[in-house]
Amino acid sequence: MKLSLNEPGVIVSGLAHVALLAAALIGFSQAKPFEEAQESVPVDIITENQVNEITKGTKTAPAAQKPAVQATKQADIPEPKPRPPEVEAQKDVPTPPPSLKREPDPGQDETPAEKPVPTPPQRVAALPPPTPTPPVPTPPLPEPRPTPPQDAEAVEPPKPQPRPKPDVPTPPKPDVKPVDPKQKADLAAQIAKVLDAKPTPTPPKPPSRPKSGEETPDSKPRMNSAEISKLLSKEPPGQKASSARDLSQTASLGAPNATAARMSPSLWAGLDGLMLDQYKQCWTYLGLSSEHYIPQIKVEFKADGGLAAQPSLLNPPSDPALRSLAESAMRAVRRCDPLKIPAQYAPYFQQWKSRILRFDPAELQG
Amino acid sequence: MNEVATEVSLLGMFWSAHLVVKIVMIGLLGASVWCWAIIVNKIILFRRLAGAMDKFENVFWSGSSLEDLYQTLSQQPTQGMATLFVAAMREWKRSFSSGAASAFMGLQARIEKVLDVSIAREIEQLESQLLVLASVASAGPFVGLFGTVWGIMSAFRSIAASKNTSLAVVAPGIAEALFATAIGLFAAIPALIFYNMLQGRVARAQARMESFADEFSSILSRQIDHMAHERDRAA
Repeated sequence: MKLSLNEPGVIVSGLAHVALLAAALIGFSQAKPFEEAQESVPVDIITENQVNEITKGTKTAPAAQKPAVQATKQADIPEPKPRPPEVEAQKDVPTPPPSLKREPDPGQDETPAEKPVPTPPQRVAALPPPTPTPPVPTPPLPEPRPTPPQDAEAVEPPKPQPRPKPDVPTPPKPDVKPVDPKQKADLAAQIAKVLDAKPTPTPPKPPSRPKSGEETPDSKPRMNSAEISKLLSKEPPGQKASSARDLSQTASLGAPNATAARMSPSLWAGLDGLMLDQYKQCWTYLGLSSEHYIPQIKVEFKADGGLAAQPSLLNPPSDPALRSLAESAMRAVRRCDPLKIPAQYAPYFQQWKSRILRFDPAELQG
Repeated sequence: MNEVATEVSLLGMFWSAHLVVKIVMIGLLGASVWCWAIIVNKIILFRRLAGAMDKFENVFWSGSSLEDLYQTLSQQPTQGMATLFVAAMREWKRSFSSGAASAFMGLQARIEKVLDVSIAREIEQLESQLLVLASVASAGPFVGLFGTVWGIMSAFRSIAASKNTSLAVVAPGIAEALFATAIGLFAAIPALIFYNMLQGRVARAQARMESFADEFSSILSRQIDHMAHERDRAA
């Protein structure tokens, strides 16, 4: 194709394309980015109450006061239930020994133990070290059995189980159930007398007391007291550290799977120290406790530190002489209402709102 | 071109494309330039042709001497009807210059042949390169599509190699691949439209020249018969 004025097509076309390309280069020099498309994530707004319900799992608030106390216990139990039949019976037996001497083991506060008998779990955790050293027979036996029950549930159980076997796991169950009604009545009567508490609080107590009260006194002294004392004596450091606290906390009430914020060990220690100091000031008890009796009181706190429900004595003393000790402990709890709890613990309310306090006379005097 | 611009700008898309895609793009761009050059030339050609034919018809039917008209037109390049006229007149003159009486016998047929050939040549000139437009119009999209398929193929290979499927990684390769189809369509669409338009003009010009050829041949035929009659009477 020749370039000529007669046929200017090539020139015209070439120029037009060059111009067009230039325009396109300018026009397309910057691709217009899409406006940021916000990816929408479905969000449900949950109130604080709902969060508590979720994290707590089974907390149902059927009736007002009494149920609340019972409800929490039952709620705690259901989770372990699969094991409970065996585990609780077994644990109950082993726990008592440690509770008397080892109560102090604070280090394991964080470990979420079973609620019904808070102390036992801790002991269990603490016990593992002792088990190897102590009596040879006990450790071997526990191991074989523990595995099957553990499969069903958590990792912690293994420790508690070992002991139950030597103790005879089956017997505890029957004892607990049959005795409950009888002692409930007795205990209720005593409590009603001793405590000025309303009628409502008493009912909740009986269910809880029978288990801990019966099991602990019966099993502890009878079965393992001697061996346990030996075991305890071998662990001086642990005892000292633990003995510093009167208060043993219940495991957090949150469900095992809950994702709620967890208190760090230092927070737990700080909270325990605070509560210890305050209850020490409120607690006046004259007299010596010759026997190993430490009243355990289950306390339900409100977010501001006040009592959410009447405190309940978990292990009513079988000996009337010790009743004054239990009474003094109950009085201390009521006198320290409300407890002064720093705001920093508010977010973890779900974890410390229900605790079991152990009032050790020796600690008070020491 | 820095890296960032490479991702989005037109030139960046071109440079980052695969070699085959580049060739396709360049070829299609060249085809587009060529098509438009043809289109411009043809439009100008048809405009001049139409003007020349109008002008010639005015002169031809004005009643002026055909002899003078032939003398004028034979001196210059002609277009369309003027070419037919000059060709026919040349054949006419040649027959008379030979002086043979027998020349009259086949003169009519020869003139019509000459006119047909001239029309064919004119039409061929008008139609030349229109096939290029037709080819580009029909093949352009396919060529562009080939570039796109090839580009997407290489893009997917790159994706598979990088093992990253995020849209930000996939998009540039596909964009540059689609660019090839865009250029193909850019070249093919005008080619198709103007091919149809120019084809119509060729047909119109052809019809116009054929009608003129018929009229002119009839005039010459009448003239031949008239001269033959006079010659017979003279004889």
